[in-house]
Amino acid sequence: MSDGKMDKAALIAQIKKRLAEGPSAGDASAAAGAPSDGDSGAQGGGEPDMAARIAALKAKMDAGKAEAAAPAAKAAPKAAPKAAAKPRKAGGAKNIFPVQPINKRIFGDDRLYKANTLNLWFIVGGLLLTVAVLLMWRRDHVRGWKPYQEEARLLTIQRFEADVAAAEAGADGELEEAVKAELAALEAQIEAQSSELDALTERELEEKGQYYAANQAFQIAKSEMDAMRYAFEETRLMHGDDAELLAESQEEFLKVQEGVREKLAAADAANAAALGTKNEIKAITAAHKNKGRELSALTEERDRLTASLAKIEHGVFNDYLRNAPVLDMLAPTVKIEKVVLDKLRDNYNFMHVGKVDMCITCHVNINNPAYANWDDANEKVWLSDENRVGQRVLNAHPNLDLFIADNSPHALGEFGCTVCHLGRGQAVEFERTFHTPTADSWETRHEKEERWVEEYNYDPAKHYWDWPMTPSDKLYSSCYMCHSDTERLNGVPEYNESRELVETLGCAGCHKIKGLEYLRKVGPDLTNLALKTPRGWSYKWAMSPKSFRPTTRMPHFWNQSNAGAPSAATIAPDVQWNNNSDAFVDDWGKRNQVEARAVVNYIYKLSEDSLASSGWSLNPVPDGEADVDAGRATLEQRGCLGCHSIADEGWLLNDHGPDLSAVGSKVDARWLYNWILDPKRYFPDTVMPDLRLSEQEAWDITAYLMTLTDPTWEAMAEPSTDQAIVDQIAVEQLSAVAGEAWAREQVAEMATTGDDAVELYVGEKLFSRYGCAGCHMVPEHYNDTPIGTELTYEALKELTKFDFGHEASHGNPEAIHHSLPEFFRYKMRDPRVYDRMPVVDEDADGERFVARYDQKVKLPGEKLKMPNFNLDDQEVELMVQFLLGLRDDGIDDSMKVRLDGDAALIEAGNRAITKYNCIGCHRVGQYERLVSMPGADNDERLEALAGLINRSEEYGLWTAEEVTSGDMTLFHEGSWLANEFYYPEWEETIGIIDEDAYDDDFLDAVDESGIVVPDHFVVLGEGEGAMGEYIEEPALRPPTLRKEGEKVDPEWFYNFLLDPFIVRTHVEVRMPTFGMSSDEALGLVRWFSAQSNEAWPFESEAHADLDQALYDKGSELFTVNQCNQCHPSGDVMPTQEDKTQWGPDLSLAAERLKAGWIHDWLVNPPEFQPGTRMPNFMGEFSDGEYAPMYDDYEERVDALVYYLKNFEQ
Amino acid sequence: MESFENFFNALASPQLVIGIATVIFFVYLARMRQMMTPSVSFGIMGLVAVFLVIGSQNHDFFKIITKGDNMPIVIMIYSVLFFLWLAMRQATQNDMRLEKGLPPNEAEDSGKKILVWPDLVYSEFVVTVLLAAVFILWAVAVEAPLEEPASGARAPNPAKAPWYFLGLQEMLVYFDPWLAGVVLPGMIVVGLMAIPYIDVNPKGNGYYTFKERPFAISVFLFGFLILWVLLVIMGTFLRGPNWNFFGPFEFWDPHKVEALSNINLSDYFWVSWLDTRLPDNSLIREAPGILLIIGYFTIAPALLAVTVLKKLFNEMGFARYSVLVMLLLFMASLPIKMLLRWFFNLKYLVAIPEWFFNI
Repeated sequence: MSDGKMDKAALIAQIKKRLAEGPSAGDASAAAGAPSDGDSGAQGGGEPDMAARIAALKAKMDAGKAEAAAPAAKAAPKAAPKAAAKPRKAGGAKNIFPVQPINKRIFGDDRLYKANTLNLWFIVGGLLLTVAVLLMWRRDHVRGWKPYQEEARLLTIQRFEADVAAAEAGADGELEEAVKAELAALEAQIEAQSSELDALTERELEEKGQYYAANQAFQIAKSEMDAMRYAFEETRLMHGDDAELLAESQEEFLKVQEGVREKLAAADAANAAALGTKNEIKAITAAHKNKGRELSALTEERDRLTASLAKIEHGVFNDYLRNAPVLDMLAPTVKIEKVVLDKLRDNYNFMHVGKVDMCITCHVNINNPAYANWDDANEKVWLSDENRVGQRVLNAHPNLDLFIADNSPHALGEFGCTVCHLGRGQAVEFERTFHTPTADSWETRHEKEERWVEEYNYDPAKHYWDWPMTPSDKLYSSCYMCHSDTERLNGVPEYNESRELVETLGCAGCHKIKGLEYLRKVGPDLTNLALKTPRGWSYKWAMSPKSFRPTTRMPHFWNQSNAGAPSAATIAPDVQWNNNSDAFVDDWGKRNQVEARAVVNYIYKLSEDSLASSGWSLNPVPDGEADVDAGRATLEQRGCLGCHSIADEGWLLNDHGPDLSAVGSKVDARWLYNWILDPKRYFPDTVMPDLRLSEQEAWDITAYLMTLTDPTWEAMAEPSTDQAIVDQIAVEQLSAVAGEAWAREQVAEMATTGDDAVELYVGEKLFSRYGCAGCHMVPEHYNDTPIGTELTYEALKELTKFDFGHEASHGNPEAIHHSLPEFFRYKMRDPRVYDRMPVVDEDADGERFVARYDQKVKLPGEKLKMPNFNLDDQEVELMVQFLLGLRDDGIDDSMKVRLDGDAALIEAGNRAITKYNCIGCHRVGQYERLVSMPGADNDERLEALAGLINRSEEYGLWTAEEVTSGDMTLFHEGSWLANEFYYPEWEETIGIIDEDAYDDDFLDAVDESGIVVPDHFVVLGEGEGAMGEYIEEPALRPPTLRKEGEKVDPEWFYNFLLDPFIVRTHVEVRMPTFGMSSDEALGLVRWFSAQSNEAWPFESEAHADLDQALYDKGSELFTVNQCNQCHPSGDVMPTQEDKTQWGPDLSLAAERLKAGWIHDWLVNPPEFQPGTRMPNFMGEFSDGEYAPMYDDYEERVDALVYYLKNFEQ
Repeated sequence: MESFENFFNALASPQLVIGIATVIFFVYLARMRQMMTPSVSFGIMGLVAVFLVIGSQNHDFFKIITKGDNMPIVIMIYSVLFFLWLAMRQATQNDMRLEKGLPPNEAEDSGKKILVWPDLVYSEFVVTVLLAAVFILWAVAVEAPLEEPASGARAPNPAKAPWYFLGLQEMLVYFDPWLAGVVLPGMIVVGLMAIPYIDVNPKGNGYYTFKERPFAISVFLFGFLILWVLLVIMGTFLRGPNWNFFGPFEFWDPHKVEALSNINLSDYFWVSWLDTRLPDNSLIREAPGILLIIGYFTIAPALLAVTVLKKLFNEMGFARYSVLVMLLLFMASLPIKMLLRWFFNLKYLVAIPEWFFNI
């Protein structure tokens, strides 16, 4: 036992005892137990400091321990093991091996670690950590986006420098020098007076000091007075009855007030003195000062530019200090830029978070018009060539009119970038923003991707972000998210074309797409089909619609690539798809025929049943002979060609309705007669209008159409059926219920109920499988649910949820790119392509290749079933584009264009124009269309322009935007191309008066004038009203309706649209009865009024009490001008024999026309109706000015207008 | 190269991997002294390295082992092998010394004193600094990845637990979540805490030994190496999309289809053996399984007490023995369930989906 141990035990005992005894007894005991600690014990005093004492005791214990260790260390290592171990092992298990006491001094040599070694490691570790931190810092500081900003800064510096240089060059040096000289002279003058000036300055300072003191005294007194005033008023309020107190208070207040006034006067006096002196000084220096201003006005622009330049120009301060780590938090020259968008959100699954688009960190100039059209040529010339950091990254947005610019409809601060472009807006490094390579003029998509991988560490697999950027050639897909209410967007043909295609093909029949629910089924009503076409035709049609009518929208369901016919989406063109037979079907060729027949038979069965129950029947045909030639003439002239084409006749201008080339091979003559006479009777929802034909006319047209046949088609064999296959299909369908054996029993039983019972059953099943009811009205299936996948959010679906089959599989040497656009592209080229099974082989060099394509192992019912629309490449791209836009997510409703009220009305009119194909006959200027001027040189473009004007002259075309050349305005916005040419601008600029000016003289004149013809015009009316071109005489064509809203009375127009009648009795072509809804008619009226900027809602023009004098004058003029020569008015027919010269019935004018329009029309008819026969009665434009024939032409016009507006009275 | 890949791909099924590992494990225990020579141990590590290097020729394999998330697992393989060797080498050396009547190695430096300062705190501090540096450099080098925003609706495929939980996730293949996720992990924690109280073997305190505690060390190592570390490695490298099992050189095809042919004990009992339909009452239906489970936890301990573990039972007494054997049975339930699954396609012993109760 060492002393130390004893001490410790004793001390512990003492502590315990003391704790038990409490504080009062503590002092003595502690002093006794630890004499060396007497001081600390004594300090306790009356209230003992227990903690201090315990600490002291512990210190004592440690000292004892150290003493104990020291002697033990001297002993031999194995001599005292028990002594050391015993206290720990007391009462425990037996000690296995002894614990040795420490055998050296505490800081002796054999410590566990050597101090120097540890120090060394610490140094190494410290250095390593420093290096690591510096590396981390560097990694954080050297960022991929900085070079772009540096490059942009370089460009800006260059621009500023150029501007400064230009300002310097533009400066009037002599003037400046002169001013400077004058300035110097004035300075000298002042110098001469310097002693006087100094004295004055001194005096002014003195006086200012005096003023300061006086003013301060005044301010203090004033504040005292304010306090006094309060006291006075308070006294009046509280002690109003104490007259003495009041008087005293008032007296005091007035006294103070007086004092204040005095002080104010003193201050004012001091101030005046100071000002006086100041003016004296001014008088001496004013001339100099003014001259100085003059000088700085001369150099102002330069100074401003120089100051701006100084902020960013290169130098130690701007380059290093401002951008140094840590310091760069203050005002760096390069920094992350961003736009924060609360109303456009990213979907982070559990919440939508406002977008933060940092794209502008690298795309610095996106909003800067100076970098617009920074084209391919420019981009190759980088300022710091060895540091070529990107391609188009520093360009401005290519369409600043529409996007990004502050005054554009999609300003950067409101819309950011990623809502349209996708990608990750919060990233600033190329590889983390998820750019998508798109082919351009110098690189294919693949080449670009490889270069990106090389240069930017690009990640083609796009890990960690679900929405890579939309390929740049598909960006117009994004419009649909916010503009789905608007069927066509003016000026965005890319969007219009893709949406039009989707609408035409009827995608929404099978696939629900939010925003397209309003569309009708695209196919004809089959309810009464049995009376329309013979079954044999329908069999063949179902098998192969396009071989009967190449332009039909009906897609192909049978003989598809996964069932008997070659694929369209061929990656390796020479590789065959062995698809006529598969694991479950021996001969798809036969089976296709059986399936098609079964479906057609089923539809006919439904139709026949429906006819039997409804009793609907065709009306009898007229008894008379039909005249084929008359029918042909009527069809050509009456308006049928406004929608239909007949390829065999060369009538190809319109394709709204089906091509009628072989209609005689298709339909029953009696049905056709009924259909032409009254389409809505057979198909209530058809858009085919009623031309109000007579029975004979209808019969003649029928006779003509029945002559249009296709012998090749008629000779084609009908699909044949095969009962074994029919049974097999029925068994397949029923096996799902309870197995094949049971199914066979069922089929056998079914067969006993009728010869075609099994086939009808099969037909019904296949009808549902292929979703025929998506496009057609079929009895019992009017309300079938669409069979396709909902596509509303198709582009938001994860890529892994798209079944690429093996087309994108690892191991497929012909694999397609595993991306959304590529999936859509292949699906659209061949909707069944993902049923393909590539069979891979290796050639002699070990190169893997697809040897052939087999079918994937699928039951017939599992195969892909989407029909093939045989889209061409351009249509495929349009579809891909549309599909990529189906991703409306996170966009606040307020950001979307929701059409309501008036806008919805206009849109309804717009849609009605599309639906009823108004533009088949009329030019209305529905959408802006781009008309390119082909040809490289100006002469060729000029030629093309002349052609454009020529067409405009004949029928009307309007520019949709201002067209300029140099500083010359060639065409004003909204002006009729030919009209513009006739009148003011052209004649002024080119000096042409000749009306046939678009001939050689015109060209020469334009050429001489130095006008450069732009390479494109945005034109309204182009491609519209093609029907008119079948009619030689312009006056007999359907009218151009460009300014119809200005012309006709809205109420009359509305009624006319709902129930049209003949306005121009002499004209063959006829406005049909469309049977449109009142909403559609109202929408159309509103649409036309909006086009003419007419007021809405409209007011009908009131008929006031008749002004007989004016009426008579009008009546007289009417006679004098021989209006009646060409215009019928009520029952009065024109005197003119030649009907082609006739005009509209004037008895309609009162209700039909607006007075203001009649006025303008009478003044200048060609302004409104290109090619009109209406003579100009009142005057003519000449030399850019209107030359009236009569001095009182205004009164004459007014009288005529009045007469016409009151015609019936 | 191809035959190399094919060979290892062919080995890739849970039963083969775990089976082979178990065999190696017991050979290792039996031949501990030979295994502990540095040439053998480092030879094993070298073989692993050779495998990794050759395997890296394969693009898919290379991508998997070099993925930022997976690098620690490669390191873990080595650290486990190294520390296992380090510990067991000292254990065998001590065993040999004890056989010769010498005290264990640790006795020799038992007199050494570690001072808090500088030996402990300073050295810890140095290690902290070094590790901080290493981690920072590592993170900078591999650009420690942040993944896409988490989503309940759009889980990544495969959806993997943090690496240290991959063993638990593997257990989910064989057990219901409440067992694999709650009861069994709970038993692991409770069991580890209980060790000091059920351990009556006084030997091996303060020094490495295997011979004096063969049972405890074997059981622990089996649980740690086979039922935890191996499952972590499998989960990292061999479990791909849809939690399907892939060979190390197989492409992780998300469309790979595995047969789902597992059935319940009740199906075996009623349908296959008794050739009758399943009883409607779920308790009767599952009676065989329930009885089996009850038997497993009642009869098995008693049987063990009078047979294999007789000695242990006598030494420990009833209470300690009961706790120990329960823990052992729970631990054994995982390999047993695995064996049943692999050899009998057994899905559940007790399957009462109505009550979400499946065992």
